[in-house]
Amino acid sequence: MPSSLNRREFLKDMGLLSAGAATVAALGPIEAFGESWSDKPGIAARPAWVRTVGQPTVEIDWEAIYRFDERNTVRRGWSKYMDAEAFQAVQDQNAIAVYERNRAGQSGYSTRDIALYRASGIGATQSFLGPDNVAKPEDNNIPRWEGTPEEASEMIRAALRAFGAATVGFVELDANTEKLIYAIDPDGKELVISEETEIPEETETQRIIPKSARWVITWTVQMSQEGMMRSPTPVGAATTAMTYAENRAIQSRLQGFLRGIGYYGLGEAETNALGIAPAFGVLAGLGEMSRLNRMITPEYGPMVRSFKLITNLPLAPTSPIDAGIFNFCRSCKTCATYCPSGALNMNTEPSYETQGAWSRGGIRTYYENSLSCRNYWAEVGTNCGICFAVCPFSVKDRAMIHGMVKGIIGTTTIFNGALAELSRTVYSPGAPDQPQKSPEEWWTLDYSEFGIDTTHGHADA
Amino acid sequence: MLFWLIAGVLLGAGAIFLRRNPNVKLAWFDWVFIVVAVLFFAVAIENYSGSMSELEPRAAGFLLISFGLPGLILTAIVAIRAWRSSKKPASA
Repeated sequence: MPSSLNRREFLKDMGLLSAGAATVAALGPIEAFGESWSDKPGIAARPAWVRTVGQPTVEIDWEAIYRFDERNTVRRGWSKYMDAEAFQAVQDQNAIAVYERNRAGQSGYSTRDIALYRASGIGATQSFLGPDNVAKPEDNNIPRWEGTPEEASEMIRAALRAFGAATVGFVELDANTEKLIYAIDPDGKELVISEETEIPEETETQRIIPKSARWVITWTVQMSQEGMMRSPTPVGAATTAMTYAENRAIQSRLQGFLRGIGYYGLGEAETNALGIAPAFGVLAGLGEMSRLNRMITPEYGPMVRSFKLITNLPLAPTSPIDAGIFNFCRSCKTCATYCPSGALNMNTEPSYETQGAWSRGGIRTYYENSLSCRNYWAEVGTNCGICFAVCPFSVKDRAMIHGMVKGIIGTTTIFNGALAELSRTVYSPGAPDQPQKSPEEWWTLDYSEFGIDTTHGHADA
Repeated sequence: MLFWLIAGVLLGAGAIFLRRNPNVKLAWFDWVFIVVAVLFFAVAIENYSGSMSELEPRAAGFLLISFGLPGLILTAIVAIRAWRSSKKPASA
């Protein structure tokens, strides 16, 4: 064994050290299962375990699907499903719930928590026809934008990302998919798909969608995991409120952009109007249907809100996906186990049988008791969100393990039960009806803008 | 990136140690154990630091133990075998 190094040995050793460091440093950013995004320009491909498929993983009986009256959802038609006295009682409870809990000193219901919740919903306005303060090309004697549907899709995706959307997809309307547009909007106006006109219009009683507007743009906006982990308190609810508020601006910007290039975009006249956003999202491959009756995306899990807009700009449709998510829901049941109102379905197999007239039916899924869910909202004075918080897909992307686990889930079903159990142990240690993380701690975090990681899932962030 | 550089330097240091101690004899499967142990350590530390930055200390600890412990066991096996081989008198 040499007791000292000569110059030649020293240089050899340094060479070994450098080679080791350089090799590992070069390999470091390459993560397992293709989860890491490549550095090629443009829209990065999704990981290999997110397969595009011809039909969504949830079974759809298009014959049974019809254009639904949005006012039949519990969201808008709550009073239809209860007798007047009981409804008044939950309304009264809803009005005072957060203040009662505040006075009782309950964690997550402090005055600042309630103020945060109330203030988070403040933001831009939205409308069916969109703002008219962006000049049309003809106003300035310039040509309207022309391109292939593929170029149009790429352009809209880029614009929406800039406006604040996370993922973007496209659906072409046909005799089936146009059934996902509501028959009646929440405010009672009829949504008419008309072959008579090329010009969209809004009257006192109707919103006219020209039949020539055949494309739906659907997108997600990220919600803050750290916020939602404080559900069902006002800190958690603030996340949802703010995401909807953000989207009102995003929709208006998209409508302004479409107007500026010589087309139009027909959006939600109010939150959750126009059509069934998760359905369009699933058809466009933004995610899969799930036990919690919302769309779960491969990138963000359910930690998104999904939105849609109808346009006459021809777009290239995107395909549904199979990332093993709907299959995972079969054995997981975490959301249903933690749901404090027992509203979520515990059956292993999905079914066409609805639990009430608030669901239209026509898809083989895990129908929920929306009334129990809504009544629990009144009990806690917020919009709950525990099912979002405890979902095993509600993870961030900084640790390699998430890509590995999602890769396994997307490849085989045999580990699903064990992975769900592990997720509950590691990520959801709180009691089912309690926040999974401390609401007080939330105020001490040095967290990102809007509480979201805008680099999550993108190559050129 | 700094973590990966440090890991690389440690690997290089290990290679230097072996080069400068020719009486340490390793069988082929020792090398397999070393490679697997390094992978376990890399995954353990990456997931620990990633989970801590995700504000998930419970997950960080769990992943550090889940991946770090097998790496430690493999390293201990190789280290003991190497120590024993270095104590054997060199054959003629």
